[in-house]
Amino acid sequence: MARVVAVADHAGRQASLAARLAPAFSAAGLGLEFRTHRELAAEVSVEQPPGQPPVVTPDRPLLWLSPGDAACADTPDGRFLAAETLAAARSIAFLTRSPVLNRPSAVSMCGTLPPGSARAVRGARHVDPGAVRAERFAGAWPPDARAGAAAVAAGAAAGAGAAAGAGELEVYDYATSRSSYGPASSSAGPFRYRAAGGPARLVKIRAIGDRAIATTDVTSATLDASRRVAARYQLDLATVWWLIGTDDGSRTLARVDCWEWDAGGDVTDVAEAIAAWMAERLGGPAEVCR
Amino acid sequence: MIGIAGTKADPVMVHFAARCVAGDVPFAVLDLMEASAAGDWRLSAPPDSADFVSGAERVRLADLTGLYIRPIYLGRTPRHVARWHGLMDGLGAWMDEARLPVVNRLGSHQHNGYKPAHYAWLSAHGLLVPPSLLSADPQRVRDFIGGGRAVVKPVCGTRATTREIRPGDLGRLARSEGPVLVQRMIEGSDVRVHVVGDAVIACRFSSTTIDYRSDREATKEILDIPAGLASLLVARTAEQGLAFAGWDFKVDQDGTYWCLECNPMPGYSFYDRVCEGAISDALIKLLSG
Repeated sequence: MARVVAVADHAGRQASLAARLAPAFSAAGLGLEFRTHRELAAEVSVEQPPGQPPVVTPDRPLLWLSPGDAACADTPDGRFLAAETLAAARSIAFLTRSPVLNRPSAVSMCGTLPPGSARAVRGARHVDPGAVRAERFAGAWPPDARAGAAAVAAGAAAGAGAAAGAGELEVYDYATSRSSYGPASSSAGPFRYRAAGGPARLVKIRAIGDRAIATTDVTSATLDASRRVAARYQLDLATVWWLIGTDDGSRTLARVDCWEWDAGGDVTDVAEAIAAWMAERLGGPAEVCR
Repeated sequence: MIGIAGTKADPVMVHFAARCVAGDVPFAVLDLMEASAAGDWRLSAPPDSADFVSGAERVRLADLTGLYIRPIYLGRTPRHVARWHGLMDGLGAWMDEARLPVVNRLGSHQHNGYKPAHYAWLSAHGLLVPPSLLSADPQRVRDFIGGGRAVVKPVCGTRATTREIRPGDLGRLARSEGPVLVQRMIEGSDVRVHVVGDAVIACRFSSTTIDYRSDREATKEILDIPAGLASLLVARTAEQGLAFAGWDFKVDQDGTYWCLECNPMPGYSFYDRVCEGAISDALIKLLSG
């Protein structure tokens, strides 16, 4: 039985996902072990011979599920060790020849997804231009918003192909890490904002390989678009968030995530799809319990 | 007008600004620490003619012909972290879509910060890299050291003085909580090559110490590297999405160039003095539009 290693915060923030991955892999005929970054770095060596490809020992299939271990270092030595551990684990995932789900790349910890949320959404304009809005950033609440939200919305939408709707703004507040509609009130910011369309519902699609999982009704076009966004960033596992207009069904990309933090009732489906993805790459049985 | 984005505590930024002053080159300072601490900004993606960053001075980004950015964060408070995060998100999104030369865009390669992957990339792209081993297994490290002199290096991008590792150091490794990165020591002179767009500027250091940067007596000279290597470095710099890079080599007694690393944010001021300002001149040419 092939042994797959899931690099995850399996005892903490990803415990629920981990608990569902184990039976899903068992059902797919695959063994699964969990490792933190530190555990992975402690048991894997990477050798670089001159003029030859690197050798990773042991070279095992990986699920690259976590951006780092949970423990926060509070001393300079501890922070250095954490950085060393992360760099080692990232190198191992980058260089492993066996299949790696969400393999890190030369430009990102996870696929090629940019680290900033706005950059990730804007970068998807090449695969779904009508669904991507202009973004604006401000250190303080901008004077043009005080003058009139509609003006900002129209201005922000210009050149991005997005429809300026009710003149409202979708505002992300860096001070509180919260998003809201309309101008900010008492917060000191800074802010990121973009034009809000008309009434819309927030929809989450999990794109896992060629599968797309939705917990609510969405069109096949939205499922296809989710897979295209994930593929754009070389993500085997992605959560793609959309705003779907309740009036016209129009699709607006809201966010792209690559780390799964247990949220949502679809975690069992996600685990099974991950197992299927790996089974296909290892040439094992592709059928999974669904 | 060239934009210089960073902090005045960074000697590299100060050096570049001084070279601009000396050359009567117009520039504006985007003091990222001041802007994030107490200033303001408006940044758009796609870029907008009203975009600005206001720190020590208010800079309208549409007035820039090029941007040299070294985003070094020196703050500590949660409030400042949030503001720095907001500013860098905005600048990153703006730079992704701004049509001007940027040294260097945030989307460029990052593997210098995780060295085994960096070595693999360099090796796969035509550079000869000294053998290396990342391991937490003391026996494997012992075997590697037994094969010849070796140095120990940080796995991440943190700068540290390179030092030799000997069998007597392995006791500490056994007690260590993390893996170590060891690399075969190449004896010879050090060559630093800066690539700025298509320009290649190199200098050589000869020292009796393992890390010439700690040797004030090291001899220094400007150098012409082999044309084939220069072309390769220009191509490999561009492939990483970099407009400016600092390449480190060891040149052994056979004249073989061993690549140690490609630095995507080179602290180049020391080398610029050795090269009589040629690196700054190339940067100014690139960023002047």
